[in-house]
Amino acid sequence: MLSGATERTNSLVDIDTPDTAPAAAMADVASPHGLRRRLVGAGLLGLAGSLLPSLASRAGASPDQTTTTAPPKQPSDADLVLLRFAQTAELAAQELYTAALGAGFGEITTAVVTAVRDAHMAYGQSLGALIGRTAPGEPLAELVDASLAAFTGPSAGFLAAALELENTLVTTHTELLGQLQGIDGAKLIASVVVAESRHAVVFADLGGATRVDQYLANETTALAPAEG
Amino acid sequence: MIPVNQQSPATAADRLLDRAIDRRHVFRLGGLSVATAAVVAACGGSDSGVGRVGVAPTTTALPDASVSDVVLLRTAASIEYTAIGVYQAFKSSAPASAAETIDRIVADHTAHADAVNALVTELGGEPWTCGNPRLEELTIPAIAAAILGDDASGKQPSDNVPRDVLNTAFALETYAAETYQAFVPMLSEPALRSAAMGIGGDEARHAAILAIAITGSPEGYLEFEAPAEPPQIPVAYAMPSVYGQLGGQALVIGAQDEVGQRTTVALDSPAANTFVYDYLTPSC
Repeated sequence: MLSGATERTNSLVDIDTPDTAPAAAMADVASPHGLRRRLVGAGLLGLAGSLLPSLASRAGASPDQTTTTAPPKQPSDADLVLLRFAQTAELAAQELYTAALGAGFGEITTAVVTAVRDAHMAYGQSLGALIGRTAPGEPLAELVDASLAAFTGPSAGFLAAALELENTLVTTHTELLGQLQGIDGAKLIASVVVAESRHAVVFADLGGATRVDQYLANETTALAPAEG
Repeated sequence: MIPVNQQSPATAADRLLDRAIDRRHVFRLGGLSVATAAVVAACGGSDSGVGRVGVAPTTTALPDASVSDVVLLRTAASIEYTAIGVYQAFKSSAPASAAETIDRIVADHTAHADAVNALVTELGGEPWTCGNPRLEELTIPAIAAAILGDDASGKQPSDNVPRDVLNTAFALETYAAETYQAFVPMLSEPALRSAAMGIGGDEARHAAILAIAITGSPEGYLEFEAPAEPPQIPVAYAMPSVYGQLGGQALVIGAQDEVGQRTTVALDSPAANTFVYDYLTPSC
């Protein structure tokens, strides 16, 4: 040891260090201040060390870990074809109800038809938002052509046609759900199925249904997109 | 006072020594801590739970509660059976004019439960043929107490039992439709989503038929004019919204209490605490 070195006896661990500090320094080392500093430093390192195992496991590094494949959220290319078709069907319904309103109904029927027409318009807009730039934005001409006469004719015929249209859309959308991969499109279509099922009950009631099976019956066939 | 830059050499050396010793101490103690932590981690089990020090009682692991297609479909079946049970319990208290409707709805729920359980079997699961455990433990007893009265809690019987029975049926049908709609994004296969909404659409029709039976025709079609103040008992409408809703509903039933309030039962679309997990077995 060099001259002036003094053995320290009050520290936690005796370190054999060539000590050039004078004796006055020893009081500082063993002081509460120095001791606290050492304890804090040791504690922090210890904490870091104890966290290593969990951090390492959390960091992943687990290529062999089992993963699950969630359904895609966004519509796939195949979904977009189906959703475009669904939009044209909804816009056709909107056009048909708009035409029907021109024929003139009583107050109640007008209120119902207006609400249903607006609902179909909303579905068409929601589908358009989901589809994006390639949304057709126009009604399904075949559906409009096939139903326009009934929608603009006498009230009884209109109510039967409206019931049939709502049932057809329910069937169509339920079929589409069996093909859609992306869940964003499926969620939207599912909420439309619920609402259109309710529309059908109201049109059945307006049409004079008296038995419960008249409200529930749905023998329609799903519309399908044209080939190609 | 001695200026800072003119402190004695001894004092500067003190500081230097202090730092040197501290650093060594820190490295040595820190290294010891790391080594100890590594030993403790290595001695631990393979589970990734939070480590603990000392003696602690052993715990029983919870059963696996993952939400699969089978779990969702078993939950749907359980709700069908709960609905059937409620109709059977309250049919005699419903208006006579609703008897045909109730019979048809019960038949539909039975067919739905069979169809859903067939899918469960197809997927390799165990069919569920009882009511929903949570609904039947908490929700249905609360509804029954509000309608029939409950001596234990001092609840009076309803002032209009037929009204409350139909409102309960309407709420349950809306709840069932919401359930299937809510399960659509959770089911993994498009075919299952289509099957679910085939049934969900029927439940929505049930709700609409009951709304017209409760509120009348055409008053029950939709809200033609918003009331100045919301009624204490929500009005049932066949077309309550533009889209199918998932927000749950408040069923208001029973007699008014001393401050004029009735019992409100919340029916929210099924969540994790309502699912019928694989590890549950029917006990009805």
